[in-house]
Amino acid sequence: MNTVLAADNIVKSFGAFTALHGVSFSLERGKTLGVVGESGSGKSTLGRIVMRLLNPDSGRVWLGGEDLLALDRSQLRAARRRIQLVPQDPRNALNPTMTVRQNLYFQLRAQGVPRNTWASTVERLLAQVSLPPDYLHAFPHELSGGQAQRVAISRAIANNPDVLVCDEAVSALDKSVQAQVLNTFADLQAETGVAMFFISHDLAVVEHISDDVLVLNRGRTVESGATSDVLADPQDPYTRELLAARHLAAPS
Amino acid sequence: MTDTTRRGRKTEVPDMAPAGQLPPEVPLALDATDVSVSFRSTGGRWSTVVDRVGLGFERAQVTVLLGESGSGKTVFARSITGMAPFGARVDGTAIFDDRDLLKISRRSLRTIQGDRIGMVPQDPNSSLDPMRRIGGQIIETLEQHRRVDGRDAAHARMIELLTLVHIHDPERVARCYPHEVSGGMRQRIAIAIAICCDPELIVADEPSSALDASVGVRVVQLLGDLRDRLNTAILFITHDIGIAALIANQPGDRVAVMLSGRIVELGFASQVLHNAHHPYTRALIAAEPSAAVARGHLAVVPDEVRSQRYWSELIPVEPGHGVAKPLEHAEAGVA
Amino acid sequence: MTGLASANQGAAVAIDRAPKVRFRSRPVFSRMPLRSQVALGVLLVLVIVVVLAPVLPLGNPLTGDLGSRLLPIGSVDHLLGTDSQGRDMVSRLVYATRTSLIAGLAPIIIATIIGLIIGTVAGLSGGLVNTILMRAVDILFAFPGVLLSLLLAITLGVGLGTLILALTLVWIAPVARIAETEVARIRDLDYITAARSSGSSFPGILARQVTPVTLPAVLAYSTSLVGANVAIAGGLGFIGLGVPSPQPELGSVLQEMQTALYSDPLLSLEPVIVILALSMMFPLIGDGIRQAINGRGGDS
Repeated sequence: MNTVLAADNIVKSFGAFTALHGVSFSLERGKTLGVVGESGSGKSTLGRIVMRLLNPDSGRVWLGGEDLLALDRSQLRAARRRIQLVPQDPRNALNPTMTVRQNLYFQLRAQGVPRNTWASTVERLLAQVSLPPDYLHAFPHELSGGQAQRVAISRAIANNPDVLVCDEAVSALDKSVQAQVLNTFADLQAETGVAMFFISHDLAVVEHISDDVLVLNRGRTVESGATSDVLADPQDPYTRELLAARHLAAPS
Repeated sequence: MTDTTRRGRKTEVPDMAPAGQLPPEVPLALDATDVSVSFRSTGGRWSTVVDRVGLGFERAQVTVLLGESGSGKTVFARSITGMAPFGARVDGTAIFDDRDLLKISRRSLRTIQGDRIGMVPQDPNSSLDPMRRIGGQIIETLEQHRRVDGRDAAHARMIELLTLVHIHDPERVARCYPHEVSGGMRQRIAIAIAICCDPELIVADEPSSALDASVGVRVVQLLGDLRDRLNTAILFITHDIGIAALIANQPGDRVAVMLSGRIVELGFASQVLHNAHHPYTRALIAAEPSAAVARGHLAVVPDEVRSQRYWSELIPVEPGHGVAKPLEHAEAGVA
Repeated sequence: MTGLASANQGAAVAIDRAPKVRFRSRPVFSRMPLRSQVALGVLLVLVIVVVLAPVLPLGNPLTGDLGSRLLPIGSVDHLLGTDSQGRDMVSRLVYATRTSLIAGLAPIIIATIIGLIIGTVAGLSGGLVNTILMRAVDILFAFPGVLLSLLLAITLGVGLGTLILALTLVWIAPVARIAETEVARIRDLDYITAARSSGSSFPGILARQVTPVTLPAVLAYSTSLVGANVAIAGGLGFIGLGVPSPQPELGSVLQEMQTALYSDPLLSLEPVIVILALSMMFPLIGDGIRQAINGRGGDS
């Protein structure tokens, strides 16, 4: 067993609204866990909790062998070198006032990468997501959505994290660009063995990219297991409804 | 291909209509010809976003405009309905009821928009007034276009409309404010407003993309059902092949694939979606993720297609189905 | 049936696309509109002149020759004439501009720095820190500026220092408000979330990620305040809470020159023109800053 990220019985409420009612999962090295659900299912809240951008009311999160929720401020900063976020909105993924290079430099500084390697590192990072080094001089508004999203991915993998949390990371992209970014994720995973916590409302994407799947509905796990098993024979009516929608809208 | 751009001569291409199609004299709800849209870019040059595109819309027929962001699909749809974005220069004609929507006054446009052309927005939140009850907003639209006499008639029509868009307890929903109902419900209400004056044409711009998948699918199905009941032409804009297949599910429905301001493939839905000829359309279809494709091997639109700047006019590959070929450079007068 | 040939008419034509990618950033100044560049140039010249005033061959601004009172524009030795006490107007105006620029700029600069820090920390921290800081700002906001200046003048005495202090206190609150609003606008955007999860320190995020985005709007706003600030400083001067005479200040020079309105209107218009120029310059510069930075993609 090589678990890099796990959570146990996470509960989170916002006032009277309970976003998560005790959700658990575990994610192994080199694997992808797809987290599926519609709006209000709690999937994004879960993503923020496993990155400790949000503290749960109860439950535990392990990053590697460490109790993520017990870390103090400086330990947390160190832990953040091992878990990184790929956000949703390509338009806002990068700081608009900085060039791609400056955006990446900020990350390298935050991750404690030695300054004398920055220049070569950023070129290698862009190459990893198939962008030519010219783009280092570009401001985010000069990039297309897919390019911006690939820069965001390169930022996330800057220091070889163990886990990527992808929060609807391909949802805002055009289909053909989405394919490119999904390929980038797959190639990276094959290359580096990074584990992915892949949040998406799109069953087709999750079916393609995930080894395991966690279906959330109104803050509860309604289904979990190997993707092929769950989608081949969904036990939960909610999953079936999602699947039906997908098949209706699938180009046959 | 001969010159078939004149409206009167469209009937001269019977080979384009498959067997069992409507008679060629069927009047078009809206007939857009040779429409170009340009914007002045920062350098002061005009850049063309839609380049000489024409499409006709028949009643009770769905035309899907399929394209990705930046293809010009939304700009085209807005322009031909007289709602060109601010600062746009629009050329060409868009004939609706013997009037050219690109030429007539704003005032006459207002009597057409929302009345005889209905709009379904992408985000229902932006089209509904958050401060007013749903029923009131529908009634207001009805009264604005003088479609009803008296309060009782307006109320009855409003309830009828809500029922038509599959809202089960219309009386209760009518008394709600927009934020009190779900996103899917709001989009249904937006559809109810769009159809309230029995429009000849409905323009729906990505009506499902702001909704959860299962909800969006139902909204799209609803729209598809309505075109028969209301005998309305539908211009449906989407980037999603699956959604395109869902709405364009009848034999006469067509799909137009837009790339870089040109239509690069046009045909009946079955032709374009199942027998695509254009490399871009094919790549779009193959880019659809599924478990069947090995990870890392999803199809990607080839760079030479994406960066191709010049596309010819459509060249027929089978009746009703045409594909544009790449051109070396802009050639004037190519037939 | 619509013929498919109607889809694309005529020959294909080039779609103007962005030329092949070449990303080069231009300095902020060159992206400003011309009018802002001119305004900035004029301000620069003014600043140089008033800084060098003591070494320039100017007449004494404080004492004049009573024999040559209210000389018209273009007089020998007094290019812009003299005032009612025979003091050289060039010299009066230069020194008045100097005082007014200090009184106009210093409070805004100090208030911008303090307001920016308060607003940014409040906006980014949220919760209790936000509440405490912003309530303090509200209290400051609610306090009438003139009353504040009056209290300070009584306790600290009248003078340029007191004036600057009073005006600084007046402007901290609005700047902090703007800064806080700007931070609130972006704090939940993806790149800030990404920065928070990058392992960077709080001050690092604040200085490197947040401030570059919020600064243009805040700067544009505070530049636009300079005009109002000059006016308030003049007003305070008028009621005796400003810079004590005979030290020239544009407001007081204007007031003195009222006496010449009927005998030589042009003469009395001189301070008006300087005040107008000053108050027009700053909004132009502020606007230019905002446009230049927006063109770079800061979507404020």
